[in-house]
Amino acid sequence: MKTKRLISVFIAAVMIGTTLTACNTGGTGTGTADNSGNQTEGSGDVVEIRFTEWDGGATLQVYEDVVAAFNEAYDNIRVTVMNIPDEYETKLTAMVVGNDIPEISMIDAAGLLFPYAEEGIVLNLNELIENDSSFDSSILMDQFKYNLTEDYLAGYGMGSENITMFYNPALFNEYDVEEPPASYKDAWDWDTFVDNAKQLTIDTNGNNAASDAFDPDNIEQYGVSFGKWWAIYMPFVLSNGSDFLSENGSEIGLTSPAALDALQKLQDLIYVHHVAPTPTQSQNMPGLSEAIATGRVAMQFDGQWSNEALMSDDVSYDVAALPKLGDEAVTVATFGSVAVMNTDKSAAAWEFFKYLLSEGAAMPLYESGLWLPTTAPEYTDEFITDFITDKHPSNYYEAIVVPMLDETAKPPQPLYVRNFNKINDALTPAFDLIWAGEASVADALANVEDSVNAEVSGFFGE
Amino acid sequence: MNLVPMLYSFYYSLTDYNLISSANFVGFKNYIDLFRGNDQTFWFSIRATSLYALMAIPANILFAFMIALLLNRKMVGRAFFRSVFYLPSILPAVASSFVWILLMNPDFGLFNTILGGLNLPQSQYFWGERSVLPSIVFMGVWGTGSTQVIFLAGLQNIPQVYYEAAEIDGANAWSKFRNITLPMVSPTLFFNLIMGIIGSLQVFGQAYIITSGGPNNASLFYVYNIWRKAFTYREMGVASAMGWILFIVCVLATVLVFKTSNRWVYYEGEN
Repeated sequence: MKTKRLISVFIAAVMIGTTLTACNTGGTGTGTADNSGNQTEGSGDVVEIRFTEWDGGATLQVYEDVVAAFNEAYDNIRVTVMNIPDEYETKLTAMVVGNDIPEISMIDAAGLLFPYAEEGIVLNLNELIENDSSFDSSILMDQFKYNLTEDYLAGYGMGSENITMFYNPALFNEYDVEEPPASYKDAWDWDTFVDNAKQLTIDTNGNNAASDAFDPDNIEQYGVSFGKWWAIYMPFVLSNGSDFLSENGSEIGLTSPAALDALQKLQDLIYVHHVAPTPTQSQNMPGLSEAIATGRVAMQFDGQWSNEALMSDDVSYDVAALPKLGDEAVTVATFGSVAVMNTDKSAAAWEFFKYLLSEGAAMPLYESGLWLPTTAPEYTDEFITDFITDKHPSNYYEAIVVPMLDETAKPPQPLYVRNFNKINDALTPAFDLIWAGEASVADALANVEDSVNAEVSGFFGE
Repeated sequence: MNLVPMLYSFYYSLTDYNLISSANFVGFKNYIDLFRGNDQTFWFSIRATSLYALMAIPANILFAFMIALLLNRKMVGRAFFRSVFYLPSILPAVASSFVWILLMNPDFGLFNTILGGLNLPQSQYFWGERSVLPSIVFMGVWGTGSTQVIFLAGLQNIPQVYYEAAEIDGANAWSKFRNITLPMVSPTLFFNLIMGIIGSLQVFGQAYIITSGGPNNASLFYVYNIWRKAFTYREMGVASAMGWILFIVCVLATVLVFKTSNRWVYYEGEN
């Protein structure tokens, strides 16, 4: 009996061990895959390089087209697109650990870009630029530079997109509300915005949110709807004069009075003014196209990339400036980063990098409303008028393109905030409570302030 | 075969390995930091996992055992019902999770619609800090098909003669269950209990698919936290240390159950 028991304990232990180690070594295990594709090139041979990225759909198609054109133009380099739709960072890390590093990659700045640069896995683009007299570095715009330090350019932005307001002009017309201004210079102040949102929030009895008879439990049409993530709330925090971190980068900035005020105003849209859906009510909302087309929402703060869906669905809509809290209205731009990896084929990867950023390479994505350019030659009036089609909403230039030119669109926080992902994750429990309406913004953030500040470690690019 | 990666992970648990730079030996720092609570999420995840295990283990075993008892009866459509109750456990977790997300939506989900219709109090389910764990347990009960099958096999191993003898002695249904069925399936119960403990301490999928550990860390399960440390933050050293702590806890729990088992597990032919 004793031995029987010992054997059972042993078997149980092995079973636990199996699952445990499978979990622990999953990343490194795949990393030991062969690196036969990584041989150094002989002279005159074709150099094969891989470009990794996570986007599917139209973006992937454009990458494929750019790659095909590049392969056509360069006899001695052959690029393949490696599309990794899920768990991108895990797989990229597995490749890096397995010494099977892709030659050029899109990398999220909130995650791996800067840690890789610190380890020299991502090359300093400044050095590549210096060694290439044929490259005109004035095409690169400062706002899209992912600088690790003052001299270390880890990545460059591609596919810029900013946060904007989508709205349904027909509803504004129907309820006799003035349409929101297109230009950030004329943006609504917060009170005007809330008043108008109330006029446009309608319950099942047809009462609006400004009326005494309004029934907040049965809302049919919401005045405004907005995503619950940093790029959506940051424009209002910035507009109110605060930032993600404090000025010297030593602690979280979202707990400053101005930031608390901005976030509280967003929470109030849901639970005080009842003009925006709760997170669980949002689950019942159709996608933006349908929500706008069927009049479920009058306004939505969302990423400009949504234009692609709205335009291809032929929805009648327009875009406008986000409302302001302080003296000026601002928005936040977000963009992926392309980085050249430290491999013995970095010269070929650099050639492809330049080609990716060459004028007009991503034209179909500008024309579809998905992306905005990130290089100077593509921000000329001539080029812009070229990619704005008659399908683009009429305020596109004023509300979406101009902010990129006059610095109304601020850089995304992961571009300058160190350790962004961990700070953001430490904030998540507080935002869970805030968006669920279970705590005030000040109380919720006060609860996590210590654990958030433990992750704060200053700014990049210094 | 498993020993090498296990030993590696133990070695890494003593380092600051982050996958991309070389590992520096730091001794037991990772373990000490974890227990000191330098990273609060460690204790949050222990809390979430313990609460889940305390609810899920009895709930799963009771439910699976009851279903197995029912499916062991002679009845019309027995094969059909056996398939139906097993079916959920072969569904992909992602697909069934999305169904539960819809059912449990506080605003338009089926459950709250029914509760509201009956004027009963409603719940926030996955979206409430207090209701998220019970909701995950409730959802898990539905997927206990393989536990049911193991119970069913145990039940079918009980020789009919015992029941016949008991009936001749005038035993009623309860005393037949108490004195024949329960002791005879106790080895099966024992096996399912061990598996249940190991399984519930390693709960991961629901946090990964549905809740992302929220709301307010209420479902930040231990293995989900390991995964996040390892692959989101690349703190392989800390993640390995957490893995070993879990391993030791699993072994201790298993040993504990084994130690007490001679009091309640009855093996045929042993006495």
